[in-house]
Amino acid sequence: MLESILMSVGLPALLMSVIVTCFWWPKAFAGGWWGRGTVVIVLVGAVTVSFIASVGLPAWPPSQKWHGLVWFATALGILGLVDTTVHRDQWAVRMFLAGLVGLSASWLLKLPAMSQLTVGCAIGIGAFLTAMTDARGGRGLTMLGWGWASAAAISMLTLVTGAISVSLMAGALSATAACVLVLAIIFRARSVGEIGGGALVMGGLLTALALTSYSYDYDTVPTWAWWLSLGSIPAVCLFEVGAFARWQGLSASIIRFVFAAALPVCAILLNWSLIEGALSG
Amino acid sequence: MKIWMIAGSLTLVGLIGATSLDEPIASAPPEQWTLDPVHSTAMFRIHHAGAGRFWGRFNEVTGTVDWNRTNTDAPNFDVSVKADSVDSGNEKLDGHLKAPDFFNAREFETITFESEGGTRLEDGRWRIVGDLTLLGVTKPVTADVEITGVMGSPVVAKAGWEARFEINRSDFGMDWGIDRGSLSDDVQLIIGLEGGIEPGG
Repeated sequence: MLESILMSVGLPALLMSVIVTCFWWPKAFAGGWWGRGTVVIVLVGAVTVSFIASVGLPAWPPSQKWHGLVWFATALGILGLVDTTVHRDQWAVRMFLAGLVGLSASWLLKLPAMSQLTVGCAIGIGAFLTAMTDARGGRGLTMLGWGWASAAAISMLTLVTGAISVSLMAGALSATAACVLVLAIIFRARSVGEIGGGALVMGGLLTALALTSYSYDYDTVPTWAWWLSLGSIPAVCLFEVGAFARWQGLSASIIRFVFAAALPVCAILLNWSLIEGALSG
Repeated sequence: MKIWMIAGSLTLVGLIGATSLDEPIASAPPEQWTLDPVHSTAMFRIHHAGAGRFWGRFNEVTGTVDWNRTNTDAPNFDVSVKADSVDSGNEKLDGHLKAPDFFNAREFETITFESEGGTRLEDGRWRIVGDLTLLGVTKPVTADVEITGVMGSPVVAKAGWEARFEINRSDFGMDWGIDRGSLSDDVQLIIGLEGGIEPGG
């Protein structure tokens, strides 16, 4: 198991950290489109490399339904890169892109006992809500923080279901978000604070991973735990309403992060006995 | 005259009877045996971590066997195993075995085996060829089958078979743990079946 974690979580996080460092260290890239696009590339890259390390190169069409995750991640990455070019106020364009995320999910990710409409709507809404939090600046660091917590919760809950490969993919996303957060702080990358697209990808990936794990689960994890693990998405949206939206600065980012991360952390704590059992197995 | 007619009829019946004793061995139609799910099981054995051989089983095995107990033709199997009935004796491990990394039981509910005849090796033993469908992938496999017993009574007839075969699970897209050596690619399968024929069946 340790070798699987190293190969499918540690290796993707390390590779993605190297990519981020290469793009953020040289000042030429610091504030440009590549600075923002890097976040999209590494989030999608983490999930893809983890899949390849666990399963191998993906086949087309997918031989098993959940293998569609990696193809969906690729489509999401392309849409995420487009989203980085969208101006903050162009919310209609973001809504259109989120719609395309939902459409691509319903085409590429077929899950057992779940209609394509449900899959498309759930993932499209998840991507739309998080993308809208990108509509204002200064949210990049917060997104990486709550994304790390939410992906960690999904990874641990998925481990309980027995779907280890999916759990490792969520773990890779979580570890990469944490690494990018640390690197962003080290490099003081202002561009990360202003990212667009990273949140669309994070929302889409988190919802897709949680939905996949839920659809393959034999009721070993309570349904409310999956909702809690994704609770960061609506929670962070609350801070975009009314006076909260104008609240800027480091303290605002920390409060946003703590509030949004609290729900997935609760999902972990309230199911700790199950998670502990799975970790010891 | 009457005596000659009776004697002649008996001779004719005797001749027909004698013919029916010789002929049906090759041409008797197969009887259909319905598998008893309680007394049938499918077991698998896999090499774990390059050390021990680990056993697991499936508890829900259903299907039919077409076979005539009076002749030497190979039985034809149509066996279905419920993937989520996998039982390793450890609940946590069962969860992993049912999950997408292994049997993916949510998506592929059954594992099936349909044989297409075979060759006789010796009395009560055959080498049969059939299609195994696992994870939605169908591959031809060869199994050695032996009849483990036949019991007949006026009420019900029962028969038992045991089939053994080996597969490479990677052929079916089940790759977890092979490259890291935690679980072997080759898996031995032992299927113990018991079927019955009800009166009038």
